[in-house]
Amino acid sequence: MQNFLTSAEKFIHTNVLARQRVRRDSDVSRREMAALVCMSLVIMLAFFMFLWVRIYSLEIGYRISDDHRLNEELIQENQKLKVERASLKSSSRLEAIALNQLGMSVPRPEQVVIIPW
Amino acid sequence: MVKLKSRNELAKNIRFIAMGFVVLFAIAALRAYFLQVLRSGELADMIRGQSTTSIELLPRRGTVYDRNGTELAASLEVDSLYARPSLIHDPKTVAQQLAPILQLPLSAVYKDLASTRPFVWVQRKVMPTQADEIRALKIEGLGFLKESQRFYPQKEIAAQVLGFVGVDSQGLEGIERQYDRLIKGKTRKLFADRDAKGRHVFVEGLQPSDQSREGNDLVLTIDKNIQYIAEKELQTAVSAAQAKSGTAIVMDTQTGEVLASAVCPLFNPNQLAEAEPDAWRNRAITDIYEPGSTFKTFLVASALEEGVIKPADMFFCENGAYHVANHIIHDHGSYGWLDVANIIKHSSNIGASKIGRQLGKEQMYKYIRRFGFTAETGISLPAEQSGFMPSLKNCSEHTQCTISFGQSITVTPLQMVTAYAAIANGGMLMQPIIVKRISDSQGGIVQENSPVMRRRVISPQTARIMRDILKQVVIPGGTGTRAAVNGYTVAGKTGTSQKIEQGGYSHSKVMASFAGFVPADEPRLAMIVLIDEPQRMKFGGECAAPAFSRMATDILNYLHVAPDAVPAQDPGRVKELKTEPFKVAKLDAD
Repeated sequence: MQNFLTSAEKFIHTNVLARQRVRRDSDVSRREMAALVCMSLVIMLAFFMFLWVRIYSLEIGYRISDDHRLNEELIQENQKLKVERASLKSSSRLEAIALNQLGMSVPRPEQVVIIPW
Repeated sequence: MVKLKSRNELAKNIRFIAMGFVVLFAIAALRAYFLQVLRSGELADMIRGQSTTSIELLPRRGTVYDRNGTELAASLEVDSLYARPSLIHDPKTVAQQLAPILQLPLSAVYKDLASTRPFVWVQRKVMPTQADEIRALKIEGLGFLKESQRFYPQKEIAAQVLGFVGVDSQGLEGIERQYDRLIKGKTRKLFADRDAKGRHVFVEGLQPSDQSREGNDLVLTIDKNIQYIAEKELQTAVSAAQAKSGTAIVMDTQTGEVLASAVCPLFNPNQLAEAEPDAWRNRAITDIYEPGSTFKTFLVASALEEGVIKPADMFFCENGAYHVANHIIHDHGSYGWLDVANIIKHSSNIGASKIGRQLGKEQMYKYIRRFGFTAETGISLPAEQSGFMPSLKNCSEHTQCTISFGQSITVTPLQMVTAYAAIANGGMLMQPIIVKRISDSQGGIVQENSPVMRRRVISPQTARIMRDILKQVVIPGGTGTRAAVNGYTVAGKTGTSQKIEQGGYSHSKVMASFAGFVPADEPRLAMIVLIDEPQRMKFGGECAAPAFSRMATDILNYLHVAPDAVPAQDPGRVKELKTEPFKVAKLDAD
């Protein structure tokens, strides 16, 4: 009987408990693996995010550069047009057009009618 | 025992390796501290120098506007052509290509291109069409840099007031010089990253080193249309009189704002090389002259203010010759008894001398100073003169008489018109203003110049008497009838003074002028027209008065000032204009 019990314990130890331990070890390593994969994914995501932000900021930088150049050009163009407009509005030019092309003249005092209001 | 020994060795090895890591970390930490803290600035500059670049933005010089916002002076960026001679293989051929485009002598261009210097300017500030032609040639060793170029779109208008700038955009004359510090702006730098192709990338956005790149803008009190009228009529007068030069100023009597300041000969600041340097001078403030009879106005005003004379007082004008301290003072006519108004109307030197003597030297000097003569007006323009008057202790009896009719004293045209404006506005001497406002590039006000009354010179009653006296000058019988304006009352005074030549008065060279204000009863404009050395029509009433009349007619029309007198149907009948007679009794009562 004693022998039988000893051999039964041995059997349980070697067959049941050992299998259970293996199963427990295998569960742990699977969880670790899952965690590792998740972490890797997060790191990769963060890396790709960083890369995307970097590329996007570079793209924005080029766009700012282009817009800045365009802005400077437009300011210059605007200034040129202002100078041209002022030149076209010069009194001597307008007077010459009014007198010679449009046949206008400066009204004499007796032609001026003051409208009371 | 073996197991125990090996476990101890393992622990020892682990400790050893850990120690090694600690040491390595300590070294790394020390190195990091050295690089990140101790040498951080130096290394940051180094890396910035390698990967970033600064873009220098040229300052844009502020724009100068007239009072209605029309551009009188503005800056544009233009190309300047440079060469790197070491990169030009055949300077002779390149010079032959460039010279006709730039309209420069071939030898001059070749000399630049064959230079041993690493960098030479071939032509600064080239025309856009020229730059395009040169770019199309695609010549190695040539390049363009942007530079600021000043343009004056109204050409000759107010050229002497505006002045001009040099090749490096530094103000050299006029407003450009006076306000150079405020309008020139500052160079600004933008920091950008550089990519592999050398292109600029603003990864961190626009990071200006300094926001205040653009210069401030100036708004002048000048009205470009009034300025044009003044310049046109002045030029007509100078040409008609075959004179050396001329000056005209139009001032708002109530505010002291200079609406026009014309100088003839004119010059175009866009083509500076073609103008005589003599034309650059703003004679309205830099040239002094003896005012002649226009000065009698202030003598009479002073005497009336002090109560030493009354408008009805009669003075014997010695029939044209008056002996004073071994000198003889002459009138241009032979006058007997004249009242104060007629002394002014006929411009009697003898009558003025007698009023001057009655006023006394001290009082005369006091009022001359109070009217602003012999001191700079303080207008913000460079090289203003103050005028000259002999010191009181050196003022002889004869000098006192000559000062009474505008000799032995020198003034500037601006001082004269400011003093006339004081009579026009009821006795207040205003500070002449040429710059109305200074604003930054965003439109914010940096400085606003409001009208400033410097002092009261005479009472409103005296000013009113003077206005009525001066109106007599323009009606028939007066010396300034040709200054009359159809439809408006005019008050003013003619002046003709001999110029000083070789220590004495010239017999042929004179300064002819007319100064006054319109409309006489409710003055809006004080004006002076001064003709230097007229060869024909030598009197102020002949050459300056008609210019005054034409100017006043056009300017009053432009300003929509309602006529205050009955207009003559026939402009030729201007002399018959109905003008209020001088009312002594009423004025005395005032």
